[in-house]
Amino acid sequence: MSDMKPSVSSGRKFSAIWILPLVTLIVGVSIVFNSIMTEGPTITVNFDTANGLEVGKTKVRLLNVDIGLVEEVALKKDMSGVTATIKLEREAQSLLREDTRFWVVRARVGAGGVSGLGTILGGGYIEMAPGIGPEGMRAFVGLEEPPLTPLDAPGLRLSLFSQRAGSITTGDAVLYRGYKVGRVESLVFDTEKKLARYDIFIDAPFHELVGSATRFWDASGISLKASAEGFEVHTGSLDTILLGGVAFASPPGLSAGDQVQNGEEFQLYKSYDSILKNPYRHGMYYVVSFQQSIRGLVSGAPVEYRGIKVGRVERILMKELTMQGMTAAGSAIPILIYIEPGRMSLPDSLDSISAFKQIVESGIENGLRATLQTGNLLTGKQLISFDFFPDEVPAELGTFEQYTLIPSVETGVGRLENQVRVFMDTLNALPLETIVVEANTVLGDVDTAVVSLTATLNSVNRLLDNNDSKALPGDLVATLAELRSALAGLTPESKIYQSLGASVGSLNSTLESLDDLLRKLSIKPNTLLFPATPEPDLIPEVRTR
Amino acid sequence: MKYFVLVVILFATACTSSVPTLQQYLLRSDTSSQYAVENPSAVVGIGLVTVASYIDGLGLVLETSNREVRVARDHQWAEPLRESLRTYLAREISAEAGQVIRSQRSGETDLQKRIDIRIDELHGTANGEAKLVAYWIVLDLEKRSIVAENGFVQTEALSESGYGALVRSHKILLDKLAAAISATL
Repeated sequence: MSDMKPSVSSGRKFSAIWILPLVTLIVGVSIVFNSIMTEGPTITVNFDTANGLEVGKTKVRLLNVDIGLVEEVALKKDMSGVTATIKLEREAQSLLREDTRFWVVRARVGAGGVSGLGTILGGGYIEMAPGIGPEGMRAFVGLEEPPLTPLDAPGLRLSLFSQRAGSITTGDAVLYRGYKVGRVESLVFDTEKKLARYDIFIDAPFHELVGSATRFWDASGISLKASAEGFEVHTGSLDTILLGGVAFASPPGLSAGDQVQNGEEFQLYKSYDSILKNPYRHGMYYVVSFQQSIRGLVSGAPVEYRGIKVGRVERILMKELTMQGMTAAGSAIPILIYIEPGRMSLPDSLDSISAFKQIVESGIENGLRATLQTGNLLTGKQLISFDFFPDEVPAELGTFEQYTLIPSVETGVGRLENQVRVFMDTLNALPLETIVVEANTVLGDVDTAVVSLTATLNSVNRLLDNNDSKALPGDLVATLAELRSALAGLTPESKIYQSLGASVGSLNSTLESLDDLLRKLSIKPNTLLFPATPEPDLIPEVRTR
Repeated sequence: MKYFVLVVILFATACTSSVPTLQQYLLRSDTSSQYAVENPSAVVGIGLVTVASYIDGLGLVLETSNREVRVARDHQWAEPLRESLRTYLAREISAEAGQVIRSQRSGETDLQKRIDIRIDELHGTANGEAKLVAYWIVLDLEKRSIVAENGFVQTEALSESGYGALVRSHKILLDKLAAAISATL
């Protein structure tokens, strides 16, 4: 008898039919994984228009190498432009930085020339310029115009500000002594400063020519100046004549100054002549105030030190004065002035400003004061002049609003008016009535004296009218001439003097001989009858050696 | 008669006494007096010439010793020194300076420079020398200023004994004085 035991299996066996889906799953996962691992980034770039963009056709290129493709072009929600979705190669991922730029290359005809002709037939494409900022950006704003300079190009980027946008446009040349050393990259209007801003790029190594004292001016067009010496024409290169441009240089007599960094801001002057008028960058504001009338003083009027221009009048601070409230006696009118130390041969730098402040401070102690002077008698234009008045009352620097206030003195007509007023006050204080009474008495005496004097003068006149009196001067002149002639004859050089001298000499000699004779007679009275035998003369003997 | 004979004898005795011989010396320059000058640069003349009183006579003077002087009686200048010195020095200075020096005898009053000279000593000495002490002053009459003021003291040994040699030594000394004056014009 056999045991019939049922065979019990523990469960279902793996069916072979599941192998196929499993393999398919593995392959699919590997494909997906491979796809994820090899897929490039997808980015979005906003443009103003979709001009030149075609989905699936427009490529993204870097140095003429295809690195991506436009997958989608969609209108922005606010209809302000289009957003292009671009699929890039994986290798391009590291190029997506914060300042990476994209622009559409299409055929262009502009001031800088004709470009992108190859796109007429082949269609446009998107050019990418890698940035140097941090990685990870996926959304960009495309440029409407191709950038003129690569971001990593060696050189210097500066911003120039101008009151008005002139004939200078993007792509115009930046010139140094007529040689093109850079270009204008962009022109925008700065709404905060309300100034036109030009971003320029100066190629290396010319960027070393730019310093803190460098001035930029609009070199567009032709400058024609007529003077007594004839016509004088200043032009830039042909490009700048036709298209405009920016030139830069240091003002005459000034060095280039300190080295400047990327992004520094400069003023764009409208011409080279305007630089010569205002060649200094650094200056300081002061306030001077005057009690007298400031009629004829306008903004821009010169501020001088003993005739040397050191600055200009900025404006009259009437608004600030009104805000402070005028007193009944009338407050002095404050005037804001701008002084440039560079005009006094000091370096055009911030250090000079602090040095000049100390000079002003010590000058005030020694009598430095501001005065209002008449600059032009015909037009009545006035200017502010500084000079030393050591006899003035000591004063100190004050403050008005945020400015330093320099003490002033009145001169000219104002000072004269004050002096006349003081004089009149003194005159009014005099006891004129008493003086007049005394004066009348004195005048009465004077009348009597004048009558006597008149009588005397009449007598003198009669005497002078006498013919004998009239002849007196002539006689006197003749007498003096004769006297002069006679005296001339008695000078040591005259013949009379010489003869007289000889005669006196002879007389002296004779008298001496007579004296000798008398001396002999006094000793021996009979000398005349019995002369003594004279001793023989001594003979001079030669010296014997 | 006896008195008459006595007087005759007396006069005869007087006449027999010896009479000394008078020697006179003329002080004149040996330089040529013939000259011609065109456009003289400056008119210069001799002004005052004064001599010390002891030599203002005609006799030559000899210093014996210790400042004692003897005036020679038989040896005399032919004319007073105050006269002859003017002419002599004018001629000698002219020769030295190469220009006319006027001796102021014509009464000119247009001199530009004038030379005043004073002779303090001019005599022979006991030790056989001639001595000259002089002083002069040069005046600029246009500017009314003194150009030069100098003194002169020199001696010159006699070449031989006698007054002739003394006069020659005096001339040598006066020539040196003229040269010194010429150098200060």
